[in-house]
Amino acid sequence: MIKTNLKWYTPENFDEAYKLHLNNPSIMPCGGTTGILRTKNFKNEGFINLKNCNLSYIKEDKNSSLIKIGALTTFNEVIDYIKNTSYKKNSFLGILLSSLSSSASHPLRNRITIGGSLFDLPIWSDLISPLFLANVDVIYNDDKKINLSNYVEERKSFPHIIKEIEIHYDEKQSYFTQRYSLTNFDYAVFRFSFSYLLSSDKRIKSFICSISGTKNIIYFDRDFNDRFNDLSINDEEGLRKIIFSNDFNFSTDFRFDAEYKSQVLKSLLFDAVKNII
Amino acid sequence: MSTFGKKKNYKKRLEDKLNIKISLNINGEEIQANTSATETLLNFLRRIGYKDVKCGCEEGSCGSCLVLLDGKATNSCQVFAASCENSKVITSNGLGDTNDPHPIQKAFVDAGAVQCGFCTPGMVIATYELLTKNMQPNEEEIKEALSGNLCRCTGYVKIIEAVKLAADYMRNTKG
Repeated sequence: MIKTNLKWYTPENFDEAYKLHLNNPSIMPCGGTTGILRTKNFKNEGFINLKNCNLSYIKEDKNSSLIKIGALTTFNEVIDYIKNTSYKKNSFLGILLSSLSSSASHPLRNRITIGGSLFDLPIWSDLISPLFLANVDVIYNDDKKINLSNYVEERKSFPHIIKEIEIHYDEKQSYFTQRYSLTNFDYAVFRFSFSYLLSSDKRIKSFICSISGTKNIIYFDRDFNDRFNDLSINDEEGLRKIIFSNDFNFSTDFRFDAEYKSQVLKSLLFDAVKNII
Repeated sequence: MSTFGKKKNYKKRLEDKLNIKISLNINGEEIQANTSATETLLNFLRRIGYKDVKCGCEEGSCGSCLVLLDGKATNSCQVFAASCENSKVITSNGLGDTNDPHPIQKAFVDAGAVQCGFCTPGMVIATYELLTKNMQPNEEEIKEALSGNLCRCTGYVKIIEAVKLAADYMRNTKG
């Protein structure tokens, strides 16, 4: 599709970029452009090329379990960074690595950016589910901050350009993530991730679960998570009851019925919690 | 209107829309050319003559349009040409040609990893990116690097052999 009235803007820094977008929200920021070219929806008036904005970085403060990722950092850059740290498979960085590695293909991961993926937030996103297990803030425009869950709900209601995300994760927790798709390189039908902490008497002390691919893109219910608290790890019936009686709110699409997705999720989640914890 | 007339009109309309001038380095050569705001790098490259960049699915799934964009293997169908100002692009012909093939290209021929050949330029670029980072990849790492390249002829066995052979050739060349 060729459209002539679109313009490209290449601001010199991030301040110029977000002000340009605030003045005219129809001029859209461009990250890796995979999202824009997938939909080929060119109803906007122009594009902002963010390449001069220096938004490609990863800064980690290990003492406070804080990691800051610039919006233009690609999935492969995050993957390479984590591979070069001494991460554990069941740590937050371990599941972030596993999630991002299974997303799309190697060359696409050279283009897909953290900021673009959050801004676009497709239903098959492999990024969002693990992020919900940590305390994540999205930094945008002039260093404004918004919590990730609020961002997901409100992101389309205000003009903004993401600058970076700040992830505060808990090193005491153990983490797990699993993806369900038809083939390895296919879009994820859903992905669930959970973190947990056990008490000395083998009971679940804390449990946080998030599922992407649902009707509202992400399912994150504190009441559902609280039902796991104080559950003995040997109480298989209790576990089954909590998971199988819950409604995860999927929608039917061209491949799967909502009920089918829900049943597959419940079985996989039940097996994972039973075997991992 | 004759077919020729329609083509001529299309060409004229297209030229009118190519209103953004970009400069970039393609296979070591400084190029200045016009593009439109929404033309992909794939269409841009093929239009100005780089036909070794193949047009397959145009949605980033098949990898036949892979090029090295600033050193990274990139689906050129997923990038706007207008966003590539001052970038460095290498296509498979930029690595080597029939008279002076790159060790990767030689390995693909020697291993018989080519049938119809449509996916091969993309495979060569994906292999190049892998081997510049890791000269001794294992099979898992090769599969991961080629995860964005589809081949409907060979069944991948010979392609994976070719990547291993290319790694040998490159190590020997370096040594």
